[in-house]
Amino acid sequence: MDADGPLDADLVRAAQRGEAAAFEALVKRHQDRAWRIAKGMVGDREEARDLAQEAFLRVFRALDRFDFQHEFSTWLSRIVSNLAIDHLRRRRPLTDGLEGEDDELRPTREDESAPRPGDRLEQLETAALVRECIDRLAPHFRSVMILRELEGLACAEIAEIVGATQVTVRWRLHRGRKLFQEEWSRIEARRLGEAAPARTPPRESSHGA
Amino acid sequence: MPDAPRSPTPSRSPNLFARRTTATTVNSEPLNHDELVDLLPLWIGGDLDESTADRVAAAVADSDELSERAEELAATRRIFVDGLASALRTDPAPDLWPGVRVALAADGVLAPAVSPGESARVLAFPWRRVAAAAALLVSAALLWTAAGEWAAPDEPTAAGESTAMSERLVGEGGDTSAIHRPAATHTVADVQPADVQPADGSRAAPGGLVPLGPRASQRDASQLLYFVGDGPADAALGTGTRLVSDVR
Repeated sequence: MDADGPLDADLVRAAQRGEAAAFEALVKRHQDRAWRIAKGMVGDREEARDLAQEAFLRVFRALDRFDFQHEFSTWLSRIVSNLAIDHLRRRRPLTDGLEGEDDELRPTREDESAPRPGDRLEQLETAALVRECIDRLAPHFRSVMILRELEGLACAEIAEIVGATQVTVRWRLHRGRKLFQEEWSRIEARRLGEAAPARTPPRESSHGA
Repeated sequence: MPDAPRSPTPSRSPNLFARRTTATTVNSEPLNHDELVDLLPLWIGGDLDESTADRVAAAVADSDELSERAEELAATRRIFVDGLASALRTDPAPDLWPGVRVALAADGVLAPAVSPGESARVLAFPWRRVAAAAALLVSAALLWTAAGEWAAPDEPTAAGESTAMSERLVGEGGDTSAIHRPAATHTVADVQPADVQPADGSRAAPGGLVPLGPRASQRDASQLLYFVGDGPADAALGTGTRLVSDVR
């Protein structure tokens, strides 16, 4: 993390003293991660950019309250993640989120009138389909999956970022993977139906009504 | 690739879940089929404690069904990771610092500074406003002092000599070199709004200042002022301020 240059904590201290260059260094060091989390969560480039930028602004405004017992990257990730979750909740929801950890996720019925992808799954097309599946996941599933699968963070750090216990993180990870698999299976079934409509019987949705 | 969607796994209690996923609560009870199926999504990601993971691995090795389920889960996990990574590869992270700095400067918590290649639109915004406001104030003060001259009768002009209007342009960057060019044959009183084209619809009265509102380019919106009349107004001009003065 800090192999090249000063430690994050030192940069934070310098930024607290009013050194703009130190805060600039923090932004440039961590902007890729902030961007990846935001982009992974919301999908849209401009929205992700705004969220990541807003996260750094909030970091700056709260620098004096930074707890040096924690990693700066963890703090930043938490802010980005929370901003993204809030942002997604303000959107018209595609899915019903979990009210409690025992609740089931109930994705909405697939929009059959939506444009369907072509037969060939090129790299970008796959990415778009993955995005489609992710967009059907509730925000707190997304955040945990992106932090784990994309950022490769341990459950303990994810728990710190999302403000939950490790058990809850594993629970969300478990459910998120299952739900993603179900969504992907549905897309696969849809594609198979398009590829051979006369031979392939329509598959029943895994989510029912 | 997964084929047909499976029925959703019944939601299990987090307490039961925790029992199988935390190193501090390892127990030696045999895992039943449903529990094994339920642990597979974590097992394929390496998110189980070592003891539980070993037991799941042994069960998967002995069961074709579990093995197939695990392979399907692992395949979709790879799709998830590859899809996200692919999207990020084609859409690399932007440089956030310029926007962050501008926002902080706008809040007054960070001194604005200009560096090469930085977004001039956002960075210049506060400075241009300040410059425009300063130019307006100074021009108004000069206009006030010149009011007596405006009220005095003009020197008679030679027959056939038209009253000319010169336009002075003070370029951006504080360039005070003036461009004088003869304009239409207007007297002061003849200067019409169309001659100065105020964007905010206000009329250009002789001797008056006509601030221009937002035009097509927001970048220049707040810095254009028209000064109608003759007088030493050029001294009051700020960066990018446009002067239209009447000379007789």
